[in-house]
Amino acid sequence: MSGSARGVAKAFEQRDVQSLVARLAVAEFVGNPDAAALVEDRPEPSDLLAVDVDWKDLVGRIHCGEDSGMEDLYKLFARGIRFYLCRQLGPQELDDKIHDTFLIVVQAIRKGDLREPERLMGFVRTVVRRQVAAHIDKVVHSRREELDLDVGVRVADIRRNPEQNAAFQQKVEFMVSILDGLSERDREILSRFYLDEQSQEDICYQMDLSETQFRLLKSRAKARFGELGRRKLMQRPMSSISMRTSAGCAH
Amino acid sequence: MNVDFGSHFSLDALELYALGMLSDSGCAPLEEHLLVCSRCQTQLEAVDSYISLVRSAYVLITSRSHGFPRTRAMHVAESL
Repeated sequence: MSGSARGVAKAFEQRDVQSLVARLAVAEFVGNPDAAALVEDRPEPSDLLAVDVDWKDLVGRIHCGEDSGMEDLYKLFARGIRFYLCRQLGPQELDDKIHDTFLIVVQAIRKGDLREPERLMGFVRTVVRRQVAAHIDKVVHSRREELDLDVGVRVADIRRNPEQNAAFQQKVEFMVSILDGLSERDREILSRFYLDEQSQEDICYQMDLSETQFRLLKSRAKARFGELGRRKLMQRPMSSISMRTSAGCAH
Repeated sequence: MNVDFGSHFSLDALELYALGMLSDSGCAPLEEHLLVCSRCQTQLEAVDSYISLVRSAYVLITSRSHGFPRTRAMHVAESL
């Protein structure tokens, strides 16, 4: 095959992959057309499928260009990739990023770059992490180069809507009341862990705590928070419970 | 390769991951598991929310001057 013929074949193959990824994404979206559910209600629980995965077979089918291989790959990883990307970068342009990730994975498999099929999960993780790093790099460069302009790469808008804000503020108040009820020393322990991100070992050593005491304090605060939340919820008037709840992006 | 998808990660591990306190070697298996496990994804979301609440609560407490969360700077200052 000549160089140009190879180029055409490669372009065709790439377009074919793009087309299939796009079709899968559309099919998934049409199955759940609520745009507000973009993040939370996307594909089926993929872990049920993952139990039975024969990695060699899956990678083999993708390598041979079988649609079923692509579909299984998508079913298996779509939700997880969406979750990871959204958690790291926010909901903006999420579908494009997922699409790009699948393209990279599929094209690498088709080229035979994945030599150990059983490492597919690790490979997907590496691709997703690189996508995140590349996006952050792009945003940083864009900010540097276009400091005086209003255009550039969009950054994630993670603001909550008013209803979510109100609910969040209420929860913060619950938490404040729980922290207020703790001794200064217990509050300091939690502060060291959650705010200062000190390790458990350091905190226990510096504050003369056993590991059990540390874990008990954390779990009691969580239990108290859950208990107070439930109690407050039960005290809410029916009108507030029957209010429509928002379905925005949660992470 | 034996991948046991039935073994989910503990809340403690997810909490350390959410706080960025897991080592690289600890992150890899957890992140791979998260890619295919909706249950652990949901748990991690809950952990993220809880941490966010605790931090916001401390900020609020500080701003109301009910008490001061001890910052890393204070601990460092004390140890000098």
